[in-house]
Amino acid sequence: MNSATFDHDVDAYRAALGRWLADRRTTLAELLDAHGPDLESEVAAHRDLLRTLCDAGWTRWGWPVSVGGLGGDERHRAALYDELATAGWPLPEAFVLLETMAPVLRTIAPELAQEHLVPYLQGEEMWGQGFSEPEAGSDLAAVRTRGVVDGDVVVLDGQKVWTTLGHLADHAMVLCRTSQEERPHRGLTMLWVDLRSPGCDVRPIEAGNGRNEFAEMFFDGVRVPLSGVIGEVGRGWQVAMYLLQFERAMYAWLRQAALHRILRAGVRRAQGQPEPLPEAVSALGRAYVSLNALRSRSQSTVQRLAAGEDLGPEASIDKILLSRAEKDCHDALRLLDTARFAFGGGPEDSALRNTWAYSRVTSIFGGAVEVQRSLVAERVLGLPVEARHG
Amino acid sequence: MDEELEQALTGTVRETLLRLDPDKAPEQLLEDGWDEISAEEPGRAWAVLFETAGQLVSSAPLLDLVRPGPDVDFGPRPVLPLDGLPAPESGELLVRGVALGSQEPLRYVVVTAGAECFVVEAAVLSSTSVAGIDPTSAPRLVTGSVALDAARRVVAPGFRDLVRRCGAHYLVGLADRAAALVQQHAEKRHQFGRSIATWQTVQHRLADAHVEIVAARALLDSAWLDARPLITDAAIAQAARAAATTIDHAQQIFGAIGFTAEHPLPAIVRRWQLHAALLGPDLDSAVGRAVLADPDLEATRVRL
Repeated sequence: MNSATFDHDVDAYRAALGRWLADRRTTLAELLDAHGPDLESEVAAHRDLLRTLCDAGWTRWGWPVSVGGLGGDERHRAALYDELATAGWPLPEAFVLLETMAPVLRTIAPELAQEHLVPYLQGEEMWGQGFSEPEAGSDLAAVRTRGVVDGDVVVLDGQKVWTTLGHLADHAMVLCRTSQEERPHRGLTMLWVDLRSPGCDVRPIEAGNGRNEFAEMFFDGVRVPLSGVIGEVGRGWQVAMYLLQFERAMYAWLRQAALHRILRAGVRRAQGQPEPLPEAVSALGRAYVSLNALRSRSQSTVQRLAAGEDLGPEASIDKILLSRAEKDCHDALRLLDTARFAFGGGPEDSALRNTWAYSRVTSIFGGAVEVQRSLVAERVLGLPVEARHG
Repeated sequence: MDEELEQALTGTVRETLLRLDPDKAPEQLLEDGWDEISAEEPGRAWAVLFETAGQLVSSAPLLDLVRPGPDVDFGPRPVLPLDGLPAPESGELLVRGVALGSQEPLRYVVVTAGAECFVVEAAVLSSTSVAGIDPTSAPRLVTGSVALDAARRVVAPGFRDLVRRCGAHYLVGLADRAAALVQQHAEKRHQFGRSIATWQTVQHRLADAHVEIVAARALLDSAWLDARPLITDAAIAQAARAAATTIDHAQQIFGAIGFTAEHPLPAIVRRWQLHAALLGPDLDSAVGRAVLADPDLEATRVRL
């Protein structure tokens, strides 16, 4: 167990973690070979990885002691993702959900954080995010899933869709409507739902790449104790806005670390091969520029989050830059060897095809880039509210 | 540099560039202590200087302040190469580039070739004023060959990249100016009974421009801290992208009025094109080639 103190010294944390990872290259190699190509076995293998990192203490840095962490802040977590990627370790999807959901628990529902954060870090439980519905995607305030307060429970009825890894989740954060108000973003409540409760039915959705990337969740009279209300009844929109800045901002940092690893691996495959076509060279340069622009921007965003700043619409800039970097990197890798991309049979080739397919989704989830642009226009540039007709 | 100091410096630079004849501005800034200011925190100082100059569309020859070393006096003007110049061979330095600013006779120029840097007496080179796309920048084509023992070699391995980063900051400043002008216009311009700034496509164009400018500033900040040429090249490519995107959107949103001689946008367009030509035509491919040649491909160094 890591017993050094890195509370105010991110550089020392980073250096110690780097050495620890360097000493464990065989662990990494075993881990990468341990699972099959399907998503479920990948998640299972990544649970082992999470346990290894948590038992050594690394993933508990960046979270307050009061909720089971060892101290530190967003910068420690950012350093973790960077060092893992630099050492060639995969970044489990669990980190994405952690960065999206755990800050809300830490800040707004610390009792839930005390109960669930460390088990999550140990890979003992999985979480899902229940926001979107078939009729409420970009228009999040249009959610129809209903929560009715009845004594000491909230009775939940409705449906959620596009929950990443939802079919593997034990708990979900669900945005529901608890009252009808003149302005739709009022009257919403965020709930912490145990998906093993009676009335919960979660079904995987097979994505175009053949993997169960997301799920739909059905709630039929699910009884959620009032202790599962995150924040207060009727304040769900504010909870969602707090969450979204982390989903957009910390995810951008996490993803740029992963993209550096993916790009590096692809470039190494290309080095030592005949010179690629000019279009591929240009695409590679474009990708490197996009990715490092994202990294530079994201670094200062992480520092602002660590200082407790409320980013609000500024996080949309990071999301837009991420969407572009994700696509640019994957397109460059595809162009570096189009024949291999289309026809290669090795595990690296199918892994690249999967991540290329998912790169097309980055501009859609967490708020489509169209929404992000509108947020930048209205809230950052101060432009007048967009005309709603024509 | 703390925020207050940065604001004060910005104010001084603005006031100097607005008040003085462009040719006089570099010397005035030098008298006001530019060498000391830029030595303390070079990244922020050069960023403030050149971005402010870009925002004012200034033609002051501020590159004269960028000197290859403390023992090179103020005076030699950097020649910005038109092509990548090979390192000197056979005792001879080939020069083909552009010096910006002023019609006063040049006395000395600074030439980079490969990783080398030379101070050369201008009289041994041919220096011809050209009009080109932006005569107001007073460009001069500088060509010729110089025996190496007639040139003063200066050890300044980062000089070329320093000059290019300054040029990139200038482009960011130009982009910023274009963005501010076009947003003002969009808010005031009414068609179909409402401000065109309420139209989604206009809003999204302005948002995209803003994102590119923010990204350019961030990556240039990184390039000052991470001295690798690859990072500088990436930062310059992003600055060029920011200028191209913003000015393209500005031309579209301004409509016909943005194409008139009395409008400020055409001058910005010409200045942008001149600097884009000097930074190089295909920056993405240059970065791509450098990436393929890099054995480590280490990410931009950051301080968390």
